[in-house]
Amino acid sequence: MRPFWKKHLGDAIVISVFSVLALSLALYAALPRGGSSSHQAEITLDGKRLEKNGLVDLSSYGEEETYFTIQGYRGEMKIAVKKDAIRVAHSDCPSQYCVHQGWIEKPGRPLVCAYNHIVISILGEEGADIIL
Amino acid sequence: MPGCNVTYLKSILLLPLLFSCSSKGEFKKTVFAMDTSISCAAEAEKEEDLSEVLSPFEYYDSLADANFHHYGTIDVYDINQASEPLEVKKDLYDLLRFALEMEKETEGYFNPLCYGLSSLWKGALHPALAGESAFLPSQEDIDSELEKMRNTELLLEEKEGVYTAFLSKINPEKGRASLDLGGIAKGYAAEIAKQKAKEKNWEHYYINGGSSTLVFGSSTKSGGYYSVEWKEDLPGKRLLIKDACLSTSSVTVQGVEISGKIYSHIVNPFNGEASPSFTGVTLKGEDAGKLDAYSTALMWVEPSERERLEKKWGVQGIYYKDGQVLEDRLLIEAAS
Repeated sequence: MRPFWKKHLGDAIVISVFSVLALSLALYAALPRGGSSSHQAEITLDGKRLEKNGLVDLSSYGEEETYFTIQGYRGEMKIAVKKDAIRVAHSDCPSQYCVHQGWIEKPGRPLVCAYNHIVISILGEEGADIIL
Repeated sequence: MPGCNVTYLKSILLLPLLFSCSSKGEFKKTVFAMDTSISCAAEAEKEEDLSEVLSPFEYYDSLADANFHHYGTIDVYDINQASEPLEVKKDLYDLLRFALEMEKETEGYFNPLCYGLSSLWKGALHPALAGESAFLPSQEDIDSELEKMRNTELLLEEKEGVYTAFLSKINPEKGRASLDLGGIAKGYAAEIAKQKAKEKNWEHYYINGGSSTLVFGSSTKSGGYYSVEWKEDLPGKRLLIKDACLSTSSVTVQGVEISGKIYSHIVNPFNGEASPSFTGVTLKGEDAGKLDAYSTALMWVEPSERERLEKKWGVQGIYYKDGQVLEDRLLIEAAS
């Protein structure tokens, strides 16, 4: 036995390393991903969550509107939040559709400012794949 | 012989690892074009493929822009300003030809010459989008734009590989209308994106053009169907769909209420009205470009004509107002 393992030790190491790698990848893929609170809003710029104010805990706000500013692709936007809701209070975009949409409170249709590449969405289980 | 057995053992053990490294991944990508976000979720070989599939939206956003000139290309804005035929790219020529084809197929309910009319209404309603007071445009201004539309012809010519486009006045003494391809550009780009997805042999994917234009492959979920819901417009309704397209025209997002009526960017090319009698329509069909034109047109078609046109076009629709179904051949068809 000893001469056999001495001869094929390198092969055994390579096979073991690849087997462990494959098993780790399979386990990672199978792991359930963490869920998000339905009272959180996510603000992204070009698909990436903003570093500051990228995740807003809406349940921590009161009934009175509070404002903060974010930097979009082309300019600043003023965001309003109150308990469990968020809206775009001001944007310099030509269309103003993001402002016109008003408050959002549930997962589903996000607020989109295409001019500023900003998407504001309420996190949580949406049910359907697509919300019209 | 011991040496041979170990070699075979190595090969057998390594083979599954090699196959697992070549599997596809699930990716998502969002771009911003045509005044909205365009997103794609797909099972693809690499993330860069999604950028390529979504590229038609940014490309046609420039070509079809009636409001601004885009450096380095002749676009719709340039055609609207030109006093003589302009040489255009074949891509723009094909889009313009498609627009004329759709005008004919929708029996005039989609009209690509409504830039002036749309702008008139957008300008009047825009203050309301930002929370200020809005006003209705005068009937005189509406009639003036309609007259320009009747007095204008889009002339397209192809000669020895050179493509030209020109907006010609029928009566030189009267005004000329301008092009607006907003009613078809997104759907047209989505149809090209769908072709790119097919070329990449994508099976499991969807493309979401701002919720109004959707292209579906099949889902990886059991049965292969994607689920679609109308949260505000039709609460409680759900559609299961695969390997098809959806197009929605609706006043929900961009509509403005004035004296109890909802006005929006969707204008009637025959009489200049901008207040449809219902909230919206969602159509299901095969061609995303044609669906975009059809759904725009159906906002103004007489209710008695809807079923005839749906049959003519090979589509199924659902019409709604104030959260209620007015007419439905989409969900009924899907359920059968």
